[in-house]
Amino acid sequence: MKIRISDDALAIACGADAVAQAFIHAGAEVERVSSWGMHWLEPLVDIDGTGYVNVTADQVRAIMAGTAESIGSIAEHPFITRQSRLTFARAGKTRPTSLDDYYASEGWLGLAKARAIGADATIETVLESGLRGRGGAGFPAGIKWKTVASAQAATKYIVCNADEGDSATFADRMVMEGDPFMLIEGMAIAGFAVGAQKGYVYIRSEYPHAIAKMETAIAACAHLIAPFVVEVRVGAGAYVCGEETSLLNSLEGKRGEVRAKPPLPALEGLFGKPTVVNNVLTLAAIPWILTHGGEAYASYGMGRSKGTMPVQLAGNVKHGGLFEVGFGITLGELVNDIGGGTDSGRPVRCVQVGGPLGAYIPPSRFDLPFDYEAFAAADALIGHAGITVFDDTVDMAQMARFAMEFCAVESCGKCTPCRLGSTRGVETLDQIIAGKNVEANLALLADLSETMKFGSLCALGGFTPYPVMSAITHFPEDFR
Amino acid sequence: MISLADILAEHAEREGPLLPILHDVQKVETRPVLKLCRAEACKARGVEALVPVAEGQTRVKVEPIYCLGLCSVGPAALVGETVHARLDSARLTALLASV
Repeated sequence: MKIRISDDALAIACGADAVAQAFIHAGAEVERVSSWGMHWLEPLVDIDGTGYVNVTADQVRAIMAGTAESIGSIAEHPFITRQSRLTFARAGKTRPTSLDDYYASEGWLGLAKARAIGADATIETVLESGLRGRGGAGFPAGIKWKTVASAQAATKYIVCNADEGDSATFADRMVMEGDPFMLIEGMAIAGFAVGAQKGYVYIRSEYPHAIAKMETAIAACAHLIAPFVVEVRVGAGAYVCGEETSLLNSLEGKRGEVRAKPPLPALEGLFGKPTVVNNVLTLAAIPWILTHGGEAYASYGMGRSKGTMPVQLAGNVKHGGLFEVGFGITLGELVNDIGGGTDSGRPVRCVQVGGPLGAYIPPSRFDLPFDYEAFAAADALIGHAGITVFDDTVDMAQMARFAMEFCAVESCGKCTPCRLGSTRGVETLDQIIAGKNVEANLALLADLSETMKFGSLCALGGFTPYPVMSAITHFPEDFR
Repeated sequence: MISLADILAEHAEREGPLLPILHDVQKVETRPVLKLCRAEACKARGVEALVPVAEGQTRVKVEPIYCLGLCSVGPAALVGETVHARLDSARLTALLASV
């Protein structure tokens, strides 16, 4: 009897440690594995492939005696069978920091392939895959790599952006806690392809479990990725450090302030050297792409959005969790069919896609396909593919105010539209909420949003207008 | 909240260099700290209704945090390096009493 229980932070927060302890006290052997990503079922106990859900310690005896109710085969659960798990192929199945488990599940094949075909062919494979930056910008990863590879410099760096600060996103955390070797392998492949000697993983301090797992994994596989070296650096709670240039400043020990571009980090990045800055999910997709080929990856998705996206279903959703799927699935399928609507049972009023800087989208637009271009055309963004579901009790004026307030709190202060605009935005929204000069203030807010959108240095000030203006456009009744 | 002015007033009678006094300033906050996520996904799951519970006591310092990556099982909180999810009024009250 093989008992598997996740040691992902989310499973632990739902009580998985106590359940694992209870099994051990009852004489069973327990393997702590990554999470399947069916969060509404955690703690999920996997006994020889059969799932027991929302388990508490006092149910352990009944489970071991075979009298408890199960959900049957976990792998055949519709939430799992409807996915195309490439990046999350090992989710729920392997012990995160076990090199044996990683070897036994296609581990290190991508790095071996890269070394066998050479740096140029590795970059070609990434180009062919169509992989675009998963952090939100959607820039083609292969082109970024090519730029760094052709830059002439003795020292180059790979920087993994693991400052996953957007609400509704947890895929980076799940990769780092559940499959850290995959991320390290992706970074080693990137280092080999562009000629970089060192990699940094910049992890936010809010993720203590991810930091610990990455440290353990890096120490365990140092000999396998040598001469490439990976080091963890921990952030200090600033949201703006998820923006690549302030992240680089923070890594250099400076204030986490945004840099003007150009120069591009690909040419003058960390310590002024050519640097690949990629999101966790971008780098984590690399080993699969090298192992199975660029064409195989590009066969998923639609249009110019190739491959799969680990979508994160969050907020007031019945079936919350990680759903990796090819681009092109509609928002409605994700929220209603897969997510099962709201957890409260009330009607869905809207969703926010792409974190605090993403637009609020009403159910009337749920026909939108998950695709970078389709979202951009609808004045929305995919971002890091987190979806927050809200029911009909949400006050959209308060959410718009929160977006401005968040920007004011987190602004690095370098550019005026973001630093001052966000504070003026909060004040203007307070006037609107208080019913003072509503029409004039709404016009002022629209004007302010334009200034922030086009005048800010980075996405923090530049994208805060998305949640604000989308809330006003789609839910005007909450503002008047 | 204790202000710098309060602390300086409290130490006004003390003689000696400023540095040890400033050390005391840093030690002023001796309460345990609970970081309650107030970001969008936890708002969607009702964290704002828990704020009065958090503010109804003073033994534990409750600070906001923006996202713990537990967005499908919120409201969530962090105490030290221990994570807590699916908080409701009763669970938060019990948690606040236990830290």
